[in-house]
Amino acid sequence: MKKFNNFNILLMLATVLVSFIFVGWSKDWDQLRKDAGQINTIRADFIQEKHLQILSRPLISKGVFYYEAPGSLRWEYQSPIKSILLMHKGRVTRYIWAENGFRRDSGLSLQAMQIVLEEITMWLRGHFAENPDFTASLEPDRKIMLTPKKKAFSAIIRNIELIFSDRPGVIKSVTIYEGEKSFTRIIFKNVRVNEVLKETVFGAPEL
Amino acid sequence: MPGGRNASVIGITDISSDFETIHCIIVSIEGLVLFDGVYKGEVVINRGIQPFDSKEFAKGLMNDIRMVFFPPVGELTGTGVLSNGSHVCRYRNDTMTIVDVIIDPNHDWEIRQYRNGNLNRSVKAYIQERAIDGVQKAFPGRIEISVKEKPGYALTLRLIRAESLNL
Repeated sequence: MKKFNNFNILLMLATVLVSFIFVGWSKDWDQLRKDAGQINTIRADFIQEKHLQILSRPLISKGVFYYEAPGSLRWEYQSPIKSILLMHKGRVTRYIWAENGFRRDSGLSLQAMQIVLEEITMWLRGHFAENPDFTASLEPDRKIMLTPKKKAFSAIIRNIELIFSDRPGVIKSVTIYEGEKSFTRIIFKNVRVNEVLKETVFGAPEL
Repeated sequence: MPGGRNASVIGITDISSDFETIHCIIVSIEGLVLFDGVYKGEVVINRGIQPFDSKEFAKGLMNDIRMVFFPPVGELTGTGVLSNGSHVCRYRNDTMTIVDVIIDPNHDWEIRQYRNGNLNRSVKAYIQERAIDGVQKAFPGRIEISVKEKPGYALTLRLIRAESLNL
């Protein structure tokens, strides 16, 4: 059985989330494909709730997300741990806040991150059905349910639920279920599409 | 870590010093549970994703948590005051292992474990530092663990929040 490591799973999640978050709701896949082709830039705030049985209340993380076609990405957590994942001009880097500023995180495989970039590009072009890792189903109430195809992966992630808002092009929340009482909910706010982003958004932070 | 690599994760630990039990969960910054393990006299891994899935990792993690939060194993063999005013208690576990628990005048504390006369593991707790979200309950805001024995590693733990559980 294929073994999934920490990074492979994050890779798949990042691919799926980024792909779906901003394509907007539609009743059919064809329309979703067309909508995906209209996205040039994205900026969104997010709140991440980690729910675990061991926690008396969820662990809250907050941050901001930027995307610019064809393949620039900034996924920034601002609290409780500051971290920035950058993909720009074919290079992938990650930075973690230490005591006196950001330091480059050497724990990630840059080769694997390159795959993330390529996958995101594919999805943002609207090729939703080509992801070999998930079965996607359109459900009522503006919901898409993603279910892992592979047993090894489904043992780690049961499914992913995406809820779209009634505003075209905006998703309300993503919930990743790992177990009955373990899930992560990411709630998006202030989503802005196709605004001009400064190039410094995708530059490295001061070290 | 070996090779100069580094990584950051979020840890959630439920500790009972009365029952000497530990439930520890490690979560990636993105929220994915990487490790879920329990110590009740022995280590049980509920869930582990590479590289957090090995028994050795789980045992090492539980050993670190036990060293930080549980009383030292062994007999108290001496007490004293260091030249800087810190109070020290010395515990001897066996003929090879000595553990010193040191409390500084500013209430920071330190644990040093010696094996065959060499410092092989140490913990330094900074009680004055604040938790990230402000909920602290007398827990140190930062703990540094340094392990000299091979492969050798260092952990810096920044407190996000600490809560007492009324069981």
